[in-house]
Amino acid sequence: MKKQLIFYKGGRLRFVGHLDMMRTMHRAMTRADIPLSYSRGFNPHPHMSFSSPLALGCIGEREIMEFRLEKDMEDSLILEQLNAQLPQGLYVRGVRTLEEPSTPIMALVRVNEYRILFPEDLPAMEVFEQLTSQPEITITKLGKIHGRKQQIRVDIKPLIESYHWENPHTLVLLAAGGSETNLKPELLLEQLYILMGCPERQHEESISRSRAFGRTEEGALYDLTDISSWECTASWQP
Amino acid sequence: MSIQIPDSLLLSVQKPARYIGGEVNTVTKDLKDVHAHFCFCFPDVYDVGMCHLGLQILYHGLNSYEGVFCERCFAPWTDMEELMRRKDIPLYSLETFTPLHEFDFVGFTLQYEMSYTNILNMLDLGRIPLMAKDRTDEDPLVIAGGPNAYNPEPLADFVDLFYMGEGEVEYEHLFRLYKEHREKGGGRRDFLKIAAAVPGIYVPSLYQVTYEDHPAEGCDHTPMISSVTPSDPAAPAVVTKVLCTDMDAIDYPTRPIIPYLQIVHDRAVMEIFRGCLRGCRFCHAGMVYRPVRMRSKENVLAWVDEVLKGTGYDELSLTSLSSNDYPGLYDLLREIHEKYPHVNVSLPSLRVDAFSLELMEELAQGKKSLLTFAAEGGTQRLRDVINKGITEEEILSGVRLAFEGQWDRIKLYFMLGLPTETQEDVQGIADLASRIVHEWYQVPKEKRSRDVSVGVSTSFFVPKPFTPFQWTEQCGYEEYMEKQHFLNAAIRSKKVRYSCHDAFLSTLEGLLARGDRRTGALIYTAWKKGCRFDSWSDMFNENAWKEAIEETGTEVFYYCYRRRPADEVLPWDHISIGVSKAFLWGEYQRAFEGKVTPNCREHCSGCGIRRICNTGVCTESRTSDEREEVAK
Ligand code: SF4
Repeated sequence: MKKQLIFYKGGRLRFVGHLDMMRTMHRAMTRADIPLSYSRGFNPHPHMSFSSPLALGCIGEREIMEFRLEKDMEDSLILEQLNAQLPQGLYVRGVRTLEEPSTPIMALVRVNEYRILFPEDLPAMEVFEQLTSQPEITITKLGKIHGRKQQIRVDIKPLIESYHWENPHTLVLLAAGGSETNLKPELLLEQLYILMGCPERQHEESISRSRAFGRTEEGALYDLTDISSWECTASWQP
Repeated sequence: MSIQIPDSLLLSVQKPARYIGGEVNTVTKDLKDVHAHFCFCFPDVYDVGMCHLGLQILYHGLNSYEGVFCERCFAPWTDMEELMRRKDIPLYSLETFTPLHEFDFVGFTLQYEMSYTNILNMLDLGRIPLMAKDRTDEDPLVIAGGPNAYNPEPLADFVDLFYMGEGEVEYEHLFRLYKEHREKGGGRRDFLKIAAAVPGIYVPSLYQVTYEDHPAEGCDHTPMISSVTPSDPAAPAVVTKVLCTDMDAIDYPTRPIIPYLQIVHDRAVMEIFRGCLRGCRFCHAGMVYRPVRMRSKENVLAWVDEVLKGTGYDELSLTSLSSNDYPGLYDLLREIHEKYPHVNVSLPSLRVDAFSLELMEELAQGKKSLLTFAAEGGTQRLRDVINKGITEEEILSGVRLAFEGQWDRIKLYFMLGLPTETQEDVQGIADLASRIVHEWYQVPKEKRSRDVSVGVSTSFFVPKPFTPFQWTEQCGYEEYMEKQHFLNAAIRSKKVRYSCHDAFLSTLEGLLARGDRRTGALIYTAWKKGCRFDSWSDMFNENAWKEAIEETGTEVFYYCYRRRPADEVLPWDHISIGVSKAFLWGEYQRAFEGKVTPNCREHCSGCGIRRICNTGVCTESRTSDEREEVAK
């Protein structure tokens, strides 16, 4: 039995890394008596998978998790019992049962949406336009070429799907995300802060990952985290 | 008043989850209902401190009292410290982000000597005057407990009161007195006098230490202590530890705090008994936690249920000082395993025999774990001196069985520099290791593992207070290193890997362990020079410590290399762990005669603990003669 769950990660949990968050979730599920199914072998692992790691400090408005159960449990019970066990900062928004076979959702994600709130005294919008009007946005990062670790240069501009400004301090950015290509917004912001002349102020903005999208064969984006039609959702607002 | 930590600060340090609190099973209370606000401080980094069972016990114990609120605080790692100092942020508690200086009590646990500079650093970061004498009614009362508190003297300048013994016993009483005193509007000096009358509480400022008027024999300028006496009628001449007499009558923290961060030992912990009945003569824990007191199997099983349910852990460790001495251990393990087949159960220091090997494999779900042997001494003669009841034949038959069962990793622990140790004993370590490798070759190829690795690890023997070796001299640095080099050269087999410790650190550990009130200046000076996290080898600043020793005129010979005469007043003589000084002296004599002393279950040696607590193993171990005598 396969289940999908959309949850919120925020509050102090923003400072808990991906692996630690996964362990926290696993333990909460055990405490909530959710009959997770485990892999066989010497080191049994629960069958659980998550959205791509969120950078430390970021809020995850709608994170995705999928897991398998050994025996069925009602979606509403999972929602209720798990929420009762989760620490403040983690919250399940909705649960549903997946028809099998199903493509793992992580394989469907193509684009992530981020909302980025800049400090009001920074000319973020203006400088961002300047940055994106360049033909390339090149960053250097540690990567592997022919199996050897070295500095590589990457143009991240093509990884920006689209963006708009909600107001002069709030950027909504759609960036490539998923297992094939993934743009971490911090990398783009690093360039922005350099261009603004205040690299030391990076991290003063607040970032939240708000939605994840798949792409149809025609190329249109569709929201993978839209739970408005799900039967089992929580009414809670962060 | 709780403080705000900017996100940007947390995002610029390693592992910010160390500094955020709010873990599952933490407690918060409304401060207006609280009359004793206590901050439990662990003088090491979060990931180390959170592994400590004593923290969970005290945290949940204190929070179960009405009107008492216990929070936590750990030493910030150096990156965080630097930012806190730069941004002028005081050290704060993890539950309510309250600066340390706003608490009623700030309590440190003393687990190892090399954490002492961290205590000073935490007080300083928490804006509490370092010296107890400089504190006013506005400052918290600084209290310290834990195994190292039994020699409180090196920290006497910095700590207002010490708690001798097990936390479950007297804290509620102490806080009640505190409440009454505060309601009457009393100040700290008077409270300390009231506290001094509470069993197990030691208030160093109420005692006076006098010294001889000439240097000790062989010393340059350091005189021996001539007396330690109460300077106030409120203080008892001897402070005796307090302890739980019935382990089944006290609570267990079945809902321990579950850290977000992966910590060193990330698992559920169940304490099965306290104390150790073996009586190894070098072992501090073996003496100070006397006597052995069991938790009943029924209770252990019930608590294991609750702990696993309350945490969701899939790993469980049953802790004690020597697993095998728990009666019915194997039944207990089987029952846990049947009930929780998914849970990986581990035990420290399990004796290796056919039975335990089978069981270990089952518990570790087929994994062949590392097998360890704490032999401590290289020859039988030396093991008799230290009263370590393990024989070479036991080790060899254990490894033989293990090799036949395809185990391939063995680790042996030894100490170098034990009293009476000769080159022969050091050679004995290498010989034992090669005999073990030889055993592996003896097992037919098709039965044994493909390869074998035998680890030999040595630490340096450091004499500790309240052990039979408290009077003995510690090896000098050169001697330590000589032994280490000798052993390194004596180990020839390629299958044996040797790992060892830093000798200077052991010297220093010995100095602080048997230090006195004069040692406080050394700790202070070392801290001033930037020493902290001294137990982390990459942080340990040998030169700064050497300079501090120099500047304070601390005579290392006096503290470390000198054999104490029988009638010397030891710095901790006004503290009692219940075990008598006469018993320790007797054990010291027997050591040099090479006489072993039976363990408490075989025969009671009358260590003196019964005067304060006639319970646990002391009542089960009476010989029939003794029982008759009691009956009469
Ligand atoms: S009184 Fe006897 S049985 Fe009890 S701890 Fe001492 S030696 Fe052991």
